[in-house]
Amino acid sequence: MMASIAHRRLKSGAAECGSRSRAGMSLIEVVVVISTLAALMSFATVLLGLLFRADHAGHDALAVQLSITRLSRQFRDDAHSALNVDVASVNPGAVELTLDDGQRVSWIASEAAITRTARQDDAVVARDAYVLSEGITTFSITDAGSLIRLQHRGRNPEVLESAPVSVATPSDVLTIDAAIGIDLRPAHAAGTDATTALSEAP
Amino acid sequence: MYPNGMRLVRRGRRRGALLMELIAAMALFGIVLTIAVPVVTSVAALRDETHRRQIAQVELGNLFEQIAARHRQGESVADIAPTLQLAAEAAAQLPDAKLTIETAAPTEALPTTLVTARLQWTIGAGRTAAPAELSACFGAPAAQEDAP
Repeated sequence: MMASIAHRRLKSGAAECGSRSRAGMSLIEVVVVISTLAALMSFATVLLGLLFRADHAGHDALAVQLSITRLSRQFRDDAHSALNVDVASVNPGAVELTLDDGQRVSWIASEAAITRTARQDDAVVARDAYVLSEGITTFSITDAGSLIRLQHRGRNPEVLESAPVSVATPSDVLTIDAAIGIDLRPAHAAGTDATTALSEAP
Repeated sequence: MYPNGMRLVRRGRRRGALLMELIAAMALFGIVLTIAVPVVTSVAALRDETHRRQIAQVELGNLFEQIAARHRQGESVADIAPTLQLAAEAAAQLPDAKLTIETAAPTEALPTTLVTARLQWTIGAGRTAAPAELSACFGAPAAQEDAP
């Protein structure tokens, strides 16, 4: 009788002991949970970084695209109404245009922006900046003096020069040509063509 | 016992619950990843395509500036148009670029030469982008007009 009671107690104690061990988590489970959390965190970090970078690149690209649109329009407007164009021989990143209304407009390029400054009688009447990707901008006169060319070369081509030929990377070159002294504004206003307006100009 | 006869049932085994939740979280994260990555990729592709389109529009503008400059020097538009070519830099940025220039002779209704330039390129896997197009009217060459 006593032996049977002792045996029952022993069994119930073992059951209690077993249920107590099931209430917690084993070391393996903790390790698995921690490693899973670490993997989740690293995936999330990478994804967030990717999204932030894409967002940043998108903003930059949009700013540059808007800038190029404004730049091409303003540069061509200036060239069309220019009476004289002077490209500095010592600094190909600068050009000065004398417009038909007496203004002197200077375009000066730095590494990541082009600045336009318009002066009337030595007083600055307008100043604009056009942000481009980092690179080198040069001005030149082409086509027997009838065109002025703005060329911006991004950083990529310089990197490519040292790369193997088999590596194909798109070049980042922007070229804006503008005819010198062909004022299109009266032509648009009058609804006639450019050449007629030009030939009627003094 | 509750008054309505229901019994309070204790949840017995909590073992492995956290692990299951984590697996579910990972599965959800995987779903988000599979959606986010193509979206980011397509946004980047769209941005590149917008950049190419802008390059094409600027290049078409350059061609018309060349026409205007040479036209001013006395060349006729019909002679200039066939000689125009894409700049090498623009061609390098526009895959398989194809330039088409059409000129329409002056008529009574439109006594100027209408020039239409169309630039087309591919956007991968043989797909062709919608062409960029620019048109302008040019009168008789300046030298002819200035002639007595």
